[in-house]
Amino acid sequence: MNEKKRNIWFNKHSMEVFYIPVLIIVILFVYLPLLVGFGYSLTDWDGYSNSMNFIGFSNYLSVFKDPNFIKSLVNTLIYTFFIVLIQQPLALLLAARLNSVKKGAGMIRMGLLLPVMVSYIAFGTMYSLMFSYTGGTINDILGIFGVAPIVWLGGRWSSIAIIIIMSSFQWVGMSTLIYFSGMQQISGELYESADLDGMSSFQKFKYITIPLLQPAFLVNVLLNVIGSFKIYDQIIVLTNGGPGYETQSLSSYIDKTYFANQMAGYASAIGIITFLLIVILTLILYKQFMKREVDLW
Amino acid sequence: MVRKEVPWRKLGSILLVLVLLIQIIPFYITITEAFKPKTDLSSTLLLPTQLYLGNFEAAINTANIFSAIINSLIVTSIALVLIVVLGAIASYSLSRINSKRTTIVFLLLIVVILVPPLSTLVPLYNILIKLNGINTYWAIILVMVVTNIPTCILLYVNFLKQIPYSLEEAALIDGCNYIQIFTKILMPTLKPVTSTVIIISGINIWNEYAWSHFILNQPTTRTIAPAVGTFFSSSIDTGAASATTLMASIPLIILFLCLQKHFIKGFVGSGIK
Repeated sequence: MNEKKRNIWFNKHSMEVFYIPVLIIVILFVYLPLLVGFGYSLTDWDGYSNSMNFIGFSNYLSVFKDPNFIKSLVNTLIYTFFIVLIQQPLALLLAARLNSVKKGAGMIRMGLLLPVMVSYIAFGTMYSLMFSYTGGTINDILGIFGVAPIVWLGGRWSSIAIIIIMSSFQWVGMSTLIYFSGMQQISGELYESADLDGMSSFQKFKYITIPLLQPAFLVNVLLNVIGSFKIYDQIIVLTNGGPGYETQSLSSYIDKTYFANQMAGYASAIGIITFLLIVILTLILYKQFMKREVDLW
Repeated sequence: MVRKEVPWRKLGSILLVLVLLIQIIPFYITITEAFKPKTDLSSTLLLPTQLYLGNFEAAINTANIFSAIINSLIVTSIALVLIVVLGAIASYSLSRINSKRTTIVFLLLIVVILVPPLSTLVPLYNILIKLNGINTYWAIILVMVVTNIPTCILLYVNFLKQIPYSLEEAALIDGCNYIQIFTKILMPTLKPVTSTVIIISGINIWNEYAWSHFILNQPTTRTIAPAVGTFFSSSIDTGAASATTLMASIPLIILFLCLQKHFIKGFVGSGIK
């Protein structure tokens, strides 16, 4: 067959045009903005006026002298660390229990997944109903036991704790489901032979379930870390970063410095730093998982 | 041996019930609050004594919830069509051609998963202002396509790579071209992944707040998540906030309850990759 005479529709490499539309919009809406953002970050632009002066890397230097930036960075790391620390073990335990449920598993999964269906904004509104000072559900219950009402969303640490609890519970059903489906793929024969060896259910969980769940771990932990590091909506709805800058995350601090403080150049610098941090964090995690020698994809 | 396992099971059951309660109570108190007038100061845990609908009026008039639902429907449906069509054909070429170029393109697309939406706030917002994209459907739709298409491509490429190439070779010999192979042979097999993509991206877009809030800042153009957000500052009116939250969440919850099996399969599919 003469290759040259073949229609372009028969040439495999002409199919490369298929990815061009996606590539174009991704370049226009992600890579171009990142580049432009890097450009802005080298200026003192306020976001509105026409005056834009090149000031080199001084935004990047002043960022690390800015106590509010440091606070946002520390808060973001705290949020990410604790959300993953609560959500993943909880999901694993729930999946293990769900694995041995005989009746009503569908109903349970539905209950666990219900919050996934609503936005952070809607779920956050529900949480603020529970934790509000006057008429909040938690203060009502505490009142029955004679405890004076607590300003839950007033202090730094109690606000951070509530944001963490809300974020880790909203998506726990999803992680549970991914672990659960991983567990269902483990061959029952492994557990049968373990039974013959007299292993307890805890030992079976530790020596069979956990090691064979490695791919589910990778997916869940990576998704959880990446998602939590972007934390924004939950903070806006529950505390709006306040009191002061006490509960601000990197994302909400970008919003604040751009729209409220009118420091567009500075906000762009934080944006670039946030992006680089998440890339580094993901690479470190991915390498750690790869070291464990599991065939993943 | 059996005796030993009982405490673990019991502990697990308690945990399961506790988490279920934690998940459902917020919905319960939102329902009770939504039907109570402002003057009703009874505990949020108690059911309302009368069916008060004033809060829903506030949701419809103040938060424009119906127009928000329509806007969300338009944005979500158009974005989903674009994601599935553009994502599927891009994944087809990316999974079938093994060259350095396609590897680089694939990586460029996947890295987008890592980009926090707010990290490009200043530049993208200003680009959209220059393109007159603020308060337009096309701007939010394209941003939603871009933020959701990487996961879609990851799912499609991983799925397509499992389909043996010999199937396509046979079709080529029979005289099919690549477009026919894609539409007639591969598309039918892509159904399960497509439903995963639609469910995952659909939930994300329907519930998206950050960019929807920045791009659509008028009460008439708003989508549902920013519409719920109208009540942030006025935390006094918890009834109206609850009613809005409820109305905003109901469409997706009903869909979830009706198509539960598909939803769960979709979530599981997203994890397996």
